[in-house]
Amino acid sequence: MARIHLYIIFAMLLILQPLSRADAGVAERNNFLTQVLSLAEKPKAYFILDLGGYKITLMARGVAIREWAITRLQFAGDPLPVKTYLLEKKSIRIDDLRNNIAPDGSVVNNISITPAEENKTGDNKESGDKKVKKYEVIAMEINDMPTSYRLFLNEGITIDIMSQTEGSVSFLKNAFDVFKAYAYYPIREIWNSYHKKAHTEIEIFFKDKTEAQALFWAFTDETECIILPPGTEDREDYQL
Amino acid sequence: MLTKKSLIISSIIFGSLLLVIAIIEGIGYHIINKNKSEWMNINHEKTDLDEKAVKDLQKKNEKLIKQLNKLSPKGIYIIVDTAKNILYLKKDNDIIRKAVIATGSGNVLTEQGGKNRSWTFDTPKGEFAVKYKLKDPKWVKPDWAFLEEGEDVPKKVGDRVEEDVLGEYAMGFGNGYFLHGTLYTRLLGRNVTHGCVRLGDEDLEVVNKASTVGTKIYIF
Repeated sequence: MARIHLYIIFAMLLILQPLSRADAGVAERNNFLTQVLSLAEKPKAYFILDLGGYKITLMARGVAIREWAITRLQFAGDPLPVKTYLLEKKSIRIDDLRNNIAPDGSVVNNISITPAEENKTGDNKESGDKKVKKYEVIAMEINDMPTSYRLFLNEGITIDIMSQTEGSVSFLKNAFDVFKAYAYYPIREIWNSYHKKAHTEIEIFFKDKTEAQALFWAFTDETECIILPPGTEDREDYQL
Repeated sequence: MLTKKSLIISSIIFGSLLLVIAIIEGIGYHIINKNKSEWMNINHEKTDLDEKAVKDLQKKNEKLIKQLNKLSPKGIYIIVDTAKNILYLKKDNDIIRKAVIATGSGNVLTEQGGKNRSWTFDTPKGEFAVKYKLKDPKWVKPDWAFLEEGEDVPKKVGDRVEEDVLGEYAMGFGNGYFLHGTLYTRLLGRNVTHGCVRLGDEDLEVVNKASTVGTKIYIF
Protein backbone atom coordinates (compact mmCIF):
# COMPACT_ATOMS: atom_id res chain seq x y z
CA MET A 1 0.00 0.00 0.00
CA ALA A 2 2.78 2.35 1.01
CA ARG A 3 4.53 1.52 -2.25
CA ILE A 4 1.43 2.57 -4.24
CA HIS A 5 1.42 5.91 -2.42
CA LEU A 6 5.03 6.38 -3.30
CA TYR A 7 4.31 5.63 -6.97
CA ILE A 8 1.47 8.16 -6.96
CA ILE A 9 3.66 10.85 -5.40
CA PHE A 10 6.47 10.10 -7.86
CA ALA A 11 4.07 10.25 -10.81
CA MET A 12 2.65 13.57 -9.58
CA LEU A 13 6.13 14.99 -9.24
CA LEU A 14 6.94 13.94 -12.78
CA ILE A 15 3.82 15.66 -14.07
CA LEU A 16 4.16 18.82 -12.01
CA GLN A 17 7.85 19.50 -12.58
CA PRO A 18 7.69 20.21 -16.31
CA LEU A 19 4.55 22.26 -15.75
CA SER A 20 6.23 24.57 -13.27
CA ARG A 21 9.16 24.98 -15.69
CA ALA A 22 6.71 25.88 -18.44
CA ASP A 23 5.06 28.40 -16.12
CA ALA A 24 8.38 30.06 -15.46
CA GLY A 25 9.14 30.08 -19.17
CA VAL A 26 5.85 31.67 -20.13
CA ALA A 27 6.23 34.36 -17.47
CA GLU A 28 9.81 35.08 -18.51
CA ARG A 29 8.82 35.27 -22.15
CA ASN A 30 6.04 37.66 -21.26
CA ASN A 31 8.50 39.89 -19.44
CA PHE A 32 11.02 39.73 -22.31
CA LEU A 33 8.42 40.51 -24.99
CA THR A 34 6.96 43.36 -22.94
CA GLN A 35 10.42 44.91 -22.59
CA VAL A 36 11.22 44.50 -26.29
CA LEU A 37 7.86 45.90 -27.35
CA SER A 38 8.23 48.96 -25.14
CA LEU A 39 11.55 49.71 -26.89
CA ALA A 40 10.31 48.87 -30.38
CA GLU A 41 7.42 51.29 -30.00
CA LYS A 42 9.86 54.20 -29.80
CA PRO A 43 11.37 55.75 -32.96
CA LYS A 44 14.87 55.11 -31.64
CA ALA A 45 17.34 52.33 -32.06
CA TYR A 46 18.02 50.11 -29.05
CA PHE A 47 20.44 47.36 -28.14
CA ILE A 48 20.15 43.81 -26.96
CA LEU A 49 23.30 42.65 -25.21
CA ASP A 50 23.24 38.87 -25.19
CA LEU A 51 25.85 37.74 -22.66
CA GLY A 52 25.33 34.05 -23.33
CA GLY A 53 25.21 34.38 -27.10
CA TYR A 54 28.28 36.66 -27.17
CA LYS A 55 26.62 39.26 -29.34
CA ILE A 56 25.26 42.77 -29.30
CA THR A 57 22.39 43.56 -31.64
CA LEU A 58 21.29 47.01 -32.65
CA MET A 59 17.56 46.93 -33.24
CA ALA A 60 14.91 49.29 -34.53
CA ARG A 61 11.20 48.49 -34.54
CA GLY A 62 11.92 44.86 -33.72
CA VAL A 63 14.32 44.44 -36.63
CA ALA A 64 18.05 43.76 -36.25
CA ILE A 65 20.01 46.38 -38.15
CA ARG A 66 23.57 45.62 -37.01
CA GLU A 67 25.24 42.91 -35.03
CA TRP A 68 28.54 42.81 -33.17
CA ALA A 69 30.17 39.48 -32.36
CA ILE A 70 31.90 39.59 -28.98
CA THR A 71 35.24 37.81 -28.82
CA ARG A 72 35.45 37.49 -25.07
CA LEU A 73 33.43 38.76 -22.14
CA GLN A 74 33.32 38.74 -18.43
CA PHE A 75 30.86 39.91 -15.83
CA ALA A 76 30.93 40.36 -12.12
CA GLY A 77 28.72 41.75 -9.41
CA ASP A 78 24.99 41.69 -9.03
CA PRO A 79 23.14 39.61 -11.61
CA LEU A 80 20.79 41.60 -13.82
CA PRO A 81 17.14 40.80 -14.36
CA VAL A 82 15.81 41.13 -17.90
CA LYS A 83 14.61 44.70 -18.13
CA THR A 84 15.37 47.94 -19.91
CA TYR A 85 18.51 49.83 -18.97
CA LEU A 86 19.58 53.28 -20.08
CA LEU A 87 23.01 54.42 -21.24
CA GLU A 88 23.62 57.48 -19.07
CA LYS A 89 27.04 58.44 -20.39
CA LYS A 90 30.25 57.23 -21.93
CA SER A 91 33.72 57.71 -20.47
CA ILE A 92 34.64 59.67 -23.58
CA ARG A 93 32.27 62.34 -24.81
CA ILE A 94 31.66 62.37 -28.54
CA ASP A 95 31.50 66.16 -28.47
CA ASP A 96 35.16 66.20 -27.40
CA LEU A 97 36.07 64.44 -30.65
CA ARG A 98 34.42 66.98 -32.91
CA ASN A 99 36.33 69.49 -35.03
CA ASN A 100 35.48 73.14 -35.10
CA ILE A 101 35.43 74.72 -38.50
CA ALA A 102 37.04 78.09 -38.94
CA PRO A 103 34.62 80.11 -41.02
CA ASP A 104 37.16 81.33 -43.54
CA GLY A 105 36.36 78.88 -46.30
CA SER A 106 40.00 77.98 -46.87
CA VAL A 107 39.83 74.34 -46.53
CA VAL A 108 38.08 71.24 -46.70
CA ASN A 109 40.51 68.19 -47.12
CA ASN A 110 43.65 66.39 -47.97
CA ILE A 111 42.35 64.85 -51.15
CA SER A 112 43.34 67.11 -53.96
CA ILE A 113 40.87 67.47 -56.74
CA THR A 114 42.28 67.83 -60.22
CA PRO A 115 41.35 70.79 -62.43
CA ALA A 116 39.49 68.45 -64.78
CA GLU A 117 37.29 67.18 -61.98
CA GLU A 118 36.68 70.67 -60.78
CA ASN A 119 35.54 71.70 -64.23
CA LYS A 120 33.22 68.73 -64.29
CA THR A 121 31.75 69.61 -60.94
CA GLY A 122 31.65 73.28 -61.66
CA ASP A 123 32.97 73.78 -58.19
CA ASN A 124 35.80 76.02 -59.23
CA LYS A 125 35.27 77.97 -62.39
CA GLU A 126 38.85 79.22 -62.48
CA SER A 127 40.34 75.77 -62.30
CA GLY A 128 41.21 75.82 -65.95
CA ASP A 129 43.30 78.90 -65.18
CA LYS A 130 45.84 77.04 -63.07
CA LYS A 131 44.09 77.59 -59.75
CA VAL A 132 43.86 74.21 -58.03
CA LYS A 133 42.07 74.09 -54.72
CA LYS A 134 43.33 71.62 -52.14
CA TYR A 135 40.54 69.84 -50.33
CA GLU A 136 41.06 68.43 -46.91
CA VAL A 137 38.52 66.27 -45.11
CA ILE A 138 38.25 67.60 -41.61
CA ALA A 139 35.72 65.28 -40.10
CA MET A 140 34.93 63.03 -37.22
CA GLU A 141 35.12 59.56 -38.70
CA ILE A 142 35.01 56.00 -37.42
CA ASN A 143 38.81 55.83 -37.03
CA ASP A 144 38.68 58.79 -34.66
CA MET A 145 36.51 56.82 -32.24
CA PRO A 146 38.12 55.26 -29.16
CA THR A 147 38.93 51.54 -29.07
CA SER A 148 38.64 51.26 -25.27
CA TYR A 149 36.04 53.04 -23.22
CA ARG A 150 33.47 52.59 -20.52
CA LEU A 151 29.70 52.81 -20.77
CA PHE A 152 27.80 53.91 -17.69
CA LEU A 153 24.28 52.53 -17.49
CA ASN A 154 21.71 53.31 -14.83
CA GLU A 155 21.56 51.22 -11.65
CA GLY A 156 25.34 51.37 -11.31
CA ILE A 157 26.08 49.12 -14.27
CA THR A 158 29.34 49.67 -16.10
CA ILE A 159 30.36 48.08 -19.36
CA ASP A 160 34.01 48.24 -20.37
CA ILE A 161 34.58 47.89 -24.06
CA MET A 162 38.06 46.81 -25.09
CA SER A 163 39.87 45.69 -28.18
CA GLN A 164 42.30 42.82 -28.09
CA THR A 165 45.90 43.88 -27.93
CA GLU A 166 48.16 42.56 -30.62
CA GLY A 167 51.93 42.12 -30.80
CA SER A 168 54.44 41.78 -27.97
CA VAL A 169 52.23 43.51 -25.40
CA SER A 170 49.47 40.94 -25.87
CA PHE A 171 51.13 38.30 -23.62
CA LEU A 172 51.35 40.75 -20.72
CA LYS A 173 47.85 41.97 -21.40
CA ASN A 174 46.47 38.42 -21.38
CA ALA A 175 48.28 37.64 -18.10
CA PHE A 176 46.82 40.80 -16.62
CA ASP A 177 43.35 39.80 -17.83
CA VAL A 178 43.64 36.38 -16.14
CA PHE A 179 44.77 38.05 -12.92
CA LYS A 180 41.90 40.50 -13.20
CA ALA A 181 39.39 37.73 -13.83
CA TYR A 182 40.38 35.39 -11.03
CA ALA A 183 41.91 37.67 -8.45
CA TYR A 184 40.78 41.28 -8.82
CA TYR A 185 37.11 40.60 -9.56
CA PRO A 186 36.60 38.05 -6.77
CA ILE A 187 38.27 40.38 -4.25
CA ARG A 188 36.03 43.20 -5.43
CA GLU A 189 33.10 40.85 -5.24
CA ILE A 190 33.83 40.07 -1.60
CA TRP A 191 34.54 43.75 -0.85
CA ASN A 192 31.29 44.93 -2.41
CA SER A 193 29.14 42.28 -0.79
CA TYR A 194 30.77 43.06 2.57
CA HIS A 195 29.95 46.76 2.09
CA LYS A 196 26.56 45.87 0.58
CA LYS A 197 27.35 47.99 -2.43
CA ALA A 198 25.27 47.36 -5.55
CA HIS A 199 27.42 47.04 -8.63
CA THR A 200 27.58 45.19 -11.91
CA GLU A 201 30.60 45.19 -14.16
CA ILE A 202 30.69 43.78 -17.65
CA GLU A 203 33.81 43.62 -19.78
CA ILE A 204 33.52 43.12 -23.51
CA PHE A 205 36.46 42.38 -25.79
CA PHE A 206 36.47 42.70 -29.54
CA LYS A 207 39.15 41.14 -31.69
CA ASP A 208 38.70 43.85 -34.28
CA LYS A 209 39.14 47.35 -32.91
CA THR A 210 36.85 48.83 -35.56
CA GLU A 211 33.99 46.89 -33.97
CA ALA A 212 34.63 48.69 -30.68
CA GLN A 213 34.77 51.98 -32.58
CA ALA A 214 31.55 51.24 -34.46
CA LEU A 215 29.81 50.40 -31.19
CA PHE A 216 30.95 53.70 -29.69
CA TRP A 217 29.57 55.44 -32.77
CA ALA A 218 26.18 53.71 -32.62
CA PHE A 219 25.70 53.60 -28.85
CA THR A 220 24.70 57.21 -28.27
CA ASP A 221 23.76 58.66 -24.89
CA GLU A 222 20.21 57.90 -23.77
CA THR A 223 20.16 54.73 -25.85
CA GLU A 224 18.21 51.99 -24.12
CA CYS A 225 19.16 48.36 -23.96
CA ILE A 226 18.15 44.97 -22.67
CA ILE A 227 20.83 42.76 -21.15
CA LEU A 228 20.18 39.05 -21.51
CA PRO A 229 22.04 37.02 -18.89
CA PRO A 230 23.92 33.83 -19.77
CA GLY A 231 21.70 30.82 -20.02
CA THR A 232 19.06 32.58 -22.09
CA GLU A 233 20.83 32.21 -25.43
CA ASP A 234 19.46 28.75 -26.24
CA ARG A 235 16.00 29.28 -24.83
CA GLU A 236 13.06 29.83 -27.12
CA ASP A 237 11.52 32.15 -24.54
CA TYR A 238 14.14 34.74 -25.47
CA GLN A 239 13.94 34.45 -29.25
CA LEU A 240 12.11 36.98 -31.36
CA MET B 1 77.17 26.82 0.59
CA LEU B 2 75.68 30.27 0.79
CA THR B 3 74.59 30.04 -2.82
CA LYS B 4 72.87 26.73 -2.17
CA LYS B 5 71.10 28.16 0.87
CA SER B 6 69.96 31.24 -0.95
CA LEU B 7 68.78 29.05 -3.83
CA ILE B 8 66.65 27.00 -1.46
CA ILE B 9 65.23 30.12 0.20
CA SER B 10 64.43 31.79 -3.08
CA SER B 11 62.84 28.55 -4.34
CA ILE B 12 60.68 28.40 -1.22
CA ILE B 13 59.68 32.03 -1.62
CA PHE B 14 58.93 31.57 -5.31
CA GLY B 15 57.03 28.36 -4.65
CA SER B 16 55.02 29.96 -1.85
CA LEU B 17 54.23 32.89 -4.07
CA LEU B 18 52.99 30.57 -6.81
CA LEU B 19 50.96 28.67 -4.24
CA VAL B 20 49.38 31.88 -2.93
CA ILE B 21 48.55 32.99 -6.46
CA ALA B 22 47.10 29.55 -7.23
CA ILE B 23 45.01 29.63 -4.04
CA ILE B 24 43.77 33.17 -4.77
CA GLU B 25 42.93 32.24 -8.35
CA GLY B 26 41.30 28.99 -7.20
CA ILE B 27 39.09 30.87 -4.76
CA GLY B 28 38.52 33.49 -7.42
CA TYR B 29 37.49 30.82 -9.92
CA HIS B 30 35.03 29.42 -7.38
CA ILE B 31 33.56 32.88 -6.66
CA ILE B 32 33.31 33.71 -10.37
CA ASN B 33 31.56 30.41 -11.10
CA LYS B 34 29.21 30.90 -8.19
CA ASN B 35 28.48 34.36 -9.51
CA LYS B 36 27.93 32.99 -13.01
CA SER B 37 25.32 30.53 -11.76
CA GLU B 38 23.62 33.37 -9.86
CA TRP B 39 23.48 35.31 -13.14
CA MET B 40 22.06 32.29 -14.93
CA ASN B 41 19.34 31.80 -12.36
CA ILE B 42 18.29 35.42 -11.86
CA ASN B 43 15.31 35.09 -14.21
CA HIS B 44 14.45 31.53 -13.25
CA GLU B 45 12.20 32.52 -10.43
CA LYS B 46 9.66 29.90 -9.55
CA THR B 47 6.18 30.92 -10.41
CA ASP B 48 3.02 29.52 -8.97
CA LEU B 49 0.72 29.95 -11.89
CA ASP B 50 -2.40 27.93 -12.32
CA GLU B 51 -3.38 26.54 -15.68
CA LYS B 52 -5.65 29.48 -16.47
CA ALA B 53 -2.94 32.02 -15.68
CA VAL B 54 -0.48 30.18 -17.93
CA LYS B 55 -3.00 30.16 -20.78
CA ASP B 56 -3.68 33.87 -20.27
CA LEU B 57 0.01 34.61 -20.40
CA GLN B 58 0.43 32.53 -23.54
CA LYS B 59 -2.36 34.52 -25.18
CA LYS B 60 -0.75 37.77 -24.06
CA ASN B 61 2.56 36.61 -25.51
CA GLU B 62 0.96 35.84 -28.85
CA LYS B 63 -0.58 39.31 -28.82
CA LEU B 64 2.78 40.90 -28.00
CA ILE B 65 4.41 39.06 -30.92
CA LYS B 66 1.67 40.32 -33.23
CA GLN B 67 2.17 43.88 -31.97
CA LEU B 68 5.93 43.56 -32.55
CA ASN B 69 5.40 42.23 -36.07
CA LYS B 70 3.07 45.14 -36.82
CA LEU B 71 5.82 47.60 -35.86
CA SER B 72 8.53 46.08 -38.03
CA PRO B 73 9.00 47.62 -41.48
CA LYS B 74 7.38 45.84 -44.39
CA GLY B 75 8.38 45.97 -48.03
CA ILE B 76 11.00 48.52 -49.00
CA TYR B 77 13.00 50.35 -46.36
CA ILE B 78 16.41 51.96 -46.08
CA ILE B 79 19.16 51.45 -43.52
CA VAL B 80 21.99 53.98 -43.32
CA ASP B 81 25.19 53.04 -41.50
CA THR B 82 26.89 56.40 -40.89
CA ALA B 83 29.99 54.78 -39.39
CA LYS B 84 30.77 52.68 -42.46
CA ASN B 85 29.05 55.06 -44.87
CA ILE B 86 26.97 52.30 -46.39
CA LEU B 87 23.31 52.45 -47.38
CA TYR B 88 21.26 49.26 -47.56
CA LEU B 89 18.09 49.26 -49.59
CA LYS B 90 16.06 46.41 -48.17
CA LYS B 91 12.91 44.61 -49.14
CA ASP B 92 11.63 42.71 -46.12
CA ASN B 93 14.69 40.74 -45.01
CA ASP B 94 16.65 40.96 -48.26
CA ILE B 95 19.24 43.55 -49.20
CA ILE B 96 18.42 44.61 -52.74
CA ARG B 97 21.08 47.32 -53.05
CA LYS B 98 24.18 48.20 -51.09
CA ALA B 99 25.55 51.67 -51.80
CA VAL B 100 28.64 53.55 -50.69
CA ILE B 101 27.51 56.93 -49.45
CA ALA B 102 28.80 60.04 -47.70
CA THR B 103 27.28 61.24 -44.45
CA GLY B 104 27.71 64.02 -41.88
CA SER B 105 31.16 65.21 -40.86
CA GLY B 106 30.24 65.82 -37.23
CA ASN B 107 32.02 69.15 -37.44
CA VAL B 108 30.85 72.21 -35.56
CA LEU B 109 30.53 75.64 -37.12
CA THR B 110 30.01 78.60 -34.83
CA GLU B 111 29.04 81.93 -36.27
CA GLN B 112 31.42 84.70 -35.39
CA GLY B 113 30.24 88.10 -34.31
CA GLY B 114 26.88 88.96 -32.88
CA LYS B 115 24.55 86.01 -33.34
CA ASN B 116 26.84 83.19 -32.23
CA ARG B 117 24.69 80.58 -33.87
CA SER B 118 26.13 77.10 -34.00
CA TRP B 119 25.62 74.10 -36.30
CA THR B 120 26.70 70.52 -35.79
CA PHE B 121 26.94 68.68 -39.08
CA ASP B 122 25.67 65.28 -38.03
CA THR B 123 23.45 63.01 -40.02
CA PRO B 124 20.54 62.55 -37.63
CA LYS B 125 20.15 59.08 -36.14
CA GLY B 126 16.89 57.25 -35.60
CA GLU B 127 13.81 56.42 -37.59
CA PHE B 128 12.70 58.66 -40.43
CA ALA B 129 10.55 58.42 -43.53
CA VAL B 130 10.78 59.85 -47.03
CA LYS B 131 8.58 62.93 -46.80
CA TYR B 132 8.84 64.13 -50.38
CA LYS B 133 10.68 63.39 -53.58
CA LEU B 134 12.18 65.91 -55.98
CA LYS B 135 13.37 65.61 -59.57
CA ASP B 136 16.28 67.85 -60.61
CA PRO B 137 16.42 69.45 -57.20
CA LYS B 138 17.89 72.87 -56.63
CA TRP B 139 19.86 73.62 -53.51
CA VAL B 140 18.65 76.60 -51.55
CA LYS B 141 21.81 77.26 -49.60
CA PRO B 142 21.22 77.77 -45.89
CA ASP B 143 23.03 80.42 -43.85
CA TRP B 144 25.79 78.04 -42.73
CA ALA B 145 26.82 77.37 -46.33
CA PHE B 146 27.80 81.03 -46.70
CA LEU B 147 29.24 81.43 -43.23
CA GLU B 148 31.41 78.37 -43.71
CA GLU B 149 32.90 79.95 -46.80
CA GLY B 150 33.43 83.22 -44.98
CA GLU B 151 30.82 84.92 -47.15
CA ASP B 152 27.97 87.22 -46.23
CA VAL B 153 24.53 85.67 -46.07
CA PRO B 154 22.53 87.04 -49.03
CA LYS B 155 19.24 88.77 -48.40
CA LYS B 156 17.51 87.61 -51.60
CA VAL B 157 16.35 84.00 -51.76
CA GLY B 158 17.33 83.91 -55.41
CA ASP B 159 20.98 84.40 -54.45
CA ARG B 160 20.87 81.23 -52.42
CA VAL B 161 19.75 78.93 -55.18
CA GLU B 162 22.34 76.62 -56.69
CA GLU B 163 21.48 74.22 -59.49
CA ASP B 164 22.98 70.88 -60.54
CA VAL B 165 24.72 70.12 -57.27
CA LEU B 166 22.29 67.64 -55.70
CA GLY B 167 22.14 65.14 -58.55
CA GLU B 168 19.05 64.08 -60.45
CA TYR B 169 16.86 63.24 -57.47
CA ALA B 170 16.44 64.19 -53.84
CA MET B 171 14.38 62.55 -51.14
CA GLY B 172 13.66 64.74 -48.14
CA PHE B 173 13.37 63.07 -44.76
CA GLY B 174 12.71 66.11 -42.59
CA ASN B 175 14.41 69.17 -41.08
CA GLY B 176 16.16 69.97 -44.36
CA TYR B 177 17.91 66.61 -44.62
CA PHE B 178 17.94 64.76 -47.93
CA LEU B 179 19.14 61.66 -49.66
CA HIS B 180 20.62 63.17 -52.82
CA GLY B 181 23.31 62.88 -55.48
CA THR B 182 26.75 64.39 -55.53
CA LEU B 183 29.34 65.88 -57.80
CA TYR B 184 32.10 64.74 -55.48
CA THR B 185 31.97 61.01 -56.11
CA ARG B 186 35.55 60.61 -54.82
CA LEU B 187 34.31 61.54 -51.38
CA LEU B 188 31.74 58.76 -51.23
CA GLY B 189 32.63 56.52 -48.31
CA ARG B 190 33.72 59.48 -46.20
CA ASN B 191 32.06 61.63 -43.59
CA VAL B 192 32.05 64.90 -45.41
CA THR B 193 28.51 66.19 -45.64
CA HIS B 194 26.61 68.72 -43.59
CA GLY B 195 24.15 66.02 -42.54
CA CYS B 196 22.56 64.93 -45.80
CA VAL B 197 23.19 61.49 -47.26
CA ARG B 198 24.97 61.62 -50.62
CA LEU B 199 24.75 58.79 -53.13
CA GLY B 200 26.40 58.05 -56.45
CA ASP B 201 24.27 58.54 -59.57
CA GLU B 202 23.36 54.90 -60.21
CA ASP B 203 22.58 54.14 -56.58
CA LEU B 204 20.52 57.31 -56.34
CA GLU B 205 18.44 56.26 -59.29
CA VAL B 206 17.77 52.79 -57.82
CA VAL B 207 16.92 54.15 -54.37
CA ASN B 208 14.70 56.86 -55.82
CA LYS B 209 12.85 54.37 -58.00
CA ALA B 210 12.33 51.89 -55.17
CA SER B 211 11.23 54.36 -52.52
CA THR B 212 7.97 56.17 -52.18
CA VAL B 213 6.76 58.88 -49.83
CA GLY B 214 6.54 57.10 -46.49
CA THR B 215 9.41 54.69 -47.09
CA LYS B 216 11.10 54.19 -43.73
CA ILE B 217 14.73 55.20 -43.22
CA TYR B 218 16.70 53.88 -40.24
CA ILE B 219 19.91 55.77 -39.57
CA PHE B 220 22.51 54.67 -37.05
